[in-house]
Formats: sequence, structure tokens, C-alpha cells
Amino acid sequence: MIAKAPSHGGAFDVLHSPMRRSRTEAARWLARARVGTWRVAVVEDSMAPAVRPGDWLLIDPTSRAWPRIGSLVVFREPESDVLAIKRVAARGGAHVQVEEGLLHLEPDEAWLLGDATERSVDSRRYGPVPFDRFVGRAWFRYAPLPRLGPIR
Amino acid sequence: MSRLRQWLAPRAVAHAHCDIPCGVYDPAQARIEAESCYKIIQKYNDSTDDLFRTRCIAVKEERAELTKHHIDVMWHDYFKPEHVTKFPDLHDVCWKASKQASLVKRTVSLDEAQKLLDLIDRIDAMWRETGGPATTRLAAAH
Repeated sequence: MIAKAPSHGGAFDVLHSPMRRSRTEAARWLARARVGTWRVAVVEDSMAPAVRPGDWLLIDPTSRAWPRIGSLVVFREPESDVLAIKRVAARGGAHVQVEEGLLHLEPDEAWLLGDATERSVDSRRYGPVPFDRFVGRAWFRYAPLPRLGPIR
Repeated sequence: MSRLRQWLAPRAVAHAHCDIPCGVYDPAQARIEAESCYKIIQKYNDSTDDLFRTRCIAVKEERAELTKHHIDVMWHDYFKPEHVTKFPDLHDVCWKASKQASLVKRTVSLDEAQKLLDLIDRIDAMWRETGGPATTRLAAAH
């Protein structure tokens, strides 16, 4: 799918340089996608109704677009290393209210919470999650078919 | 088809990690115990046998305690903050039902037992309105 960079010269090259740049991006994306986790099946229901147990999700492993606040991210849980999915509630530099007072998030950390707050196990249990534990952003549900569509 | 499904299936599982109580709730549990209280009070009042009446009291107290327990489980575990927003009198009803169960424990009044059933029915109505039957019970295989 990724062709060699076109070997035309002159004006043609200038004309196509943005395209070529996007191809390099695509190549990088594909490389990461091939080695990384790019789709997951969800179990447990702390993110209902946004995603439910049994949902199959596509994961974007590139880091540019995330972790925006409100994004659903797949990451390795700090204590267990288990693959988990939660929503970004706050990111580096912000302060979050915890029982002991205000907690300052380091620039490379996010505060992740489940949507079903009353039963979710999340940052309130294991603290802030460093970005390097992130696997990708859940962006699209491809099964079950009636619920096909982008993740919000 | 199954091969396609297999091909499409993700290799990794992501946990939307949560604490898992069993998640099965039904006010019918409280209702059955409260009905026991009601019937036992009836039997108590119809009987002249002292031994039987003593047994009725013992069983009624036990059943009233169970009723209270099941009401508390609905109150503490099933109902969520958004349910209170929908039913502002939710806490009041559960509290009254719990207190009524205590009252039934120490009385042999059929009226009080009926009041307890009525309060449980109000909890049942809120459970139904909040989608309880679909989300907290497994479908029975007929």
C-alpha cells in the first residue's frame, strides 16, 4: 500500500510534497499499528453506555491526537499491567481533587476515570497514569454492527 | 462466517475495570419475606394454641429481619444517585420501609404488615421505572 516516493522532479515534486509527507506519516502509523495493539474487545462495564462489554474497538496508536480530555484511552493499568480502557478526565499540569486534597499532575500524566463512577476502578484507586503506559485512543466501534460508529 | 468472525475478532482484551457486586436485585425478595410476616400474623391471630403462637412470633421476627435486610440491599446497593434525582422521595420511602420492617418485627398488627407491603411496592415501582427488571435479573429459561 505504501509506494516508494515518486521519483519525478521539479514542480511535480513541490506539488506533491504534502502528499509525500502524509505518506511518511501513514507508513509510521502502519508500522506502529502492526506491532502494537490496534483493536480490542471490551470486557466489564465501567464505561457503559459509551462502550459496553462485547464491543470490538479500533485503537489509534499514534500519539498526536491524544490524550485529549474526554478521549477514551487503552492503557496498561499501573498496578496490574492489565490492558484497560478509561476516559481522560484531566492531563498534565492540572489539579485534581482527591480525598487528601488537591493533586498536581505531572506534564506526562493523565487522570483516568470510568464513566460509571460509582463502581469504576480507575485513577481514584491507582493514581495518575503516565503517558508511556498508554496504548492508544479508542476511536471506532466495528462490532456489534448495530452499534457501529465512532466512539465518543 | 465464523472464519470471518474469527479473522475480525480482536486479539487483545481491554478491561473497563469495575468492582463487581453480583448485580442481581429485586424487591420481590423483600416482598416475599414481608408476605410471610403478614400471613404469620394472620395465623397468630386465628390461633388459640399458645405454643403455636409463640412459634409464630419467633418466625415473624426472623422474617421481618430478613425483609429489612433486603430493603437495605435495594437502598444501598441498587439505587444510584441518578435514581434519587428521578425520585426525590426515594430515600424517604426506603427509610420508612426499613423502619416499618422493624415495627412489624415487634407487633402483631395486620395493618402494620400491610403498610410494609405497600412501602415495598413503592420501592418495586421505582426499581421498575429505573429499568431494574431488564438490568438486574437474568431472563428465566422457559
